[in-house]
Amino acid sequence: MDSVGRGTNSDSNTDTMSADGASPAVETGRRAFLKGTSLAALTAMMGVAIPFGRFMPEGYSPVGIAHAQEPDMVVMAEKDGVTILNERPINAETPAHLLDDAVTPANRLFVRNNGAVPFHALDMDASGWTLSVDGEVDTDLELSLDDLRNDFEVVTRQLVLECGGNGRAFFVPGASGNQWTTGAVGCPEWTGVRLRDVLNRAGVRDSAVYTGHFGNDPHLSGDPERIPISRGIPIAKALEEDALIAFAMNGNDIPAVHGFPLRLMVPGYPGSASQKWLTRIWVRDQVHDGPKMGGYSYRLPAYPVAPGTEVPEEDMVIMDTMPVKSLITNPQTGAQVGRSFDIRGHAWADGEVAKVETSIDFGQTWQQATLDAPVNAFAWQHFRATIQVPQAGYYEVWAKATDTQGRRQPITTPGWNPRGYGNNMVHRIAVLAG
Amino acid sequence: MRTLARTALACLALAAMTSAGIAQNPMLPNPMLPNPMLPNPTVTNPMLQNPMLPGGQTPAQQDLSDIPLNADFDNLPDAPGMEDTFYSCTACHSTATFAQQRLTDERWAYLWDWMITDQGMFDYGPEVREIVLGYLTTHFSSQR
Repeated sequence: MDSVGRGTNSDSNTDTMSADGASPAVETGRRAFLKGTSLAALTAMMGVAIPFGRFMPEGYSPVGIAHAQEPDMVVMAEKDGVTILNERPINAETPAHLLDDAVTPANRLFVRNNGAVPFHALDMDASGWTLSVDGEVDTDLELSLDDLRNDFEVVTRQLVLECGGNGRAFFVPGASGNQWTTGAVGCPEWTGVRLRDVLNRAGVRDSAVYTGHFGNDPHLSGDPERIPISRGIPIAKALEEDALIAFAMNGNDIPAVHGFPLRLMVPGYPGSASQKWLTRIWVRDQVHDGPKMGGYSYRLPAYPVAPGTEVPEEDMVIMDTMPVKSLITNPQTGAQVGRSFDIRGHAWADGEVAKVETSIDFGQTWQQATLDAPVNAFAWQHFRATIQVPQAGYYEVWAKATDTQGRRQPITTPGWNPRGYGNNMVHRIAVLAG
Repeated sequence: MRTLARTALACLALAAMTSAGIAQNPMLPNPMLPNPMLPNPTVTNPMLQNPMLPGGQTPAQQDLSDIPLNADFDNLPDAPGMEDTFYSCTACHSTATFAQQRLTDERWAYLWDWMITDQGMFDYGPEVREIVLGYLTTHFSSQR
């Protein structure tokens, strides 16, 4: 008997397919059973393809089976080529070369979940969905999806969505959380109504300080009283024109895993401000104190610290805007290229990117790339350049963006912080030219 | 934790004041060592090397290679504490949640307590806490 209080005898394989996941003997028995099960058989059992099955370690049991009450990995069947960092909760990022599209398609958009995918989303059932707005407002609102579509101006925008922890994997010593490299970012086209218009309809009182966002995704503990995440933004940001309450992505319903049927899109801020499966906006008379607003979540030290420093909790302050960044999306790193070759990618910022430069000599000299204007505010901007190398050999291509306020990407990781937020170091790819 | 941090800061300040620019402060990591952008030296073919390879996971990954992995437990290192860690953590989330991280002892301890106070994990008591933290800080550490 181990001290956690659950039996672990793998021979006690009494009921391998029971839905009773609470029984430890069953759990281990199911695992033992699955160990000898082929990918094809697993696929048949789950009733769906396992598109990333080739990444599955031998003997690994997908959560959809190991935890029969958690079927949400099914939503990942739509994804193409993303790297799964975690299955419960689902977290997946996109390799740089698969972010080459000007507008990120659904199958290439990263996933950052804090809880489970709610059942209504798995069923793509939006019947009876309402969004409530309350708190420091003159009139509480309870809006159906039709109300949103009919009573407010509907706008379509390309908006960058990026996890605050994108780039965390490069911090040394390691920072806690999903080890995102560069792929927790995308720029789909969102359709919805302005957050500002809805707040103004309710009438924001002078006492309003912050918004608090709520969705209906279940907490991983299964406790219905707990919510996995509820973050917010300063009321001034909420009243700018850019943030949307979105009901469509790339012209279709928002995919289940991305917040069907309704989500916030707050560009320029960590993705966690853009609540998925949105049910309520609570206008607060203080800084919102929902789960993952406090502690070390989405917070940075109030002062520069040496890597590895244990920063007292009260010295952590909320991370607001996202830093300027760029990504080379073509060619893929490791490509064999000619002596002259084209590169392209995207750059984005909290605001607008003024220029992108590239280097093929490890940052000694930089050449300015051609940079498109954004199609709208907070859309990522496309850059391209033709690279000529002086002789055959190994090169790294580096890209560095500078925003309109003169802030540019650092060559190496910027200030270490306990949770590894805000890493916007230059992106590098390797090529063999010849 | 706070006392330690304050002490560290005080040490830094003291070293800065007394060094006249030559003393080495052991509290300050050399920013070039380990270089988070340094390609893995075991990879000799540059084309097999992604220059964006994460560095944050390097130390413990090397340790892991010496320990057999247990396929019945999501390929976790088969070592004392594995089962307690597996069962207490996977009640809510997958093993990938912790196995992808390389953290300091203090961070792991904080996370265990945070799981109880903020995330509704059952409090398994000090004995299990010590076993699980022993396992995590041995196999998923940024310090060793």
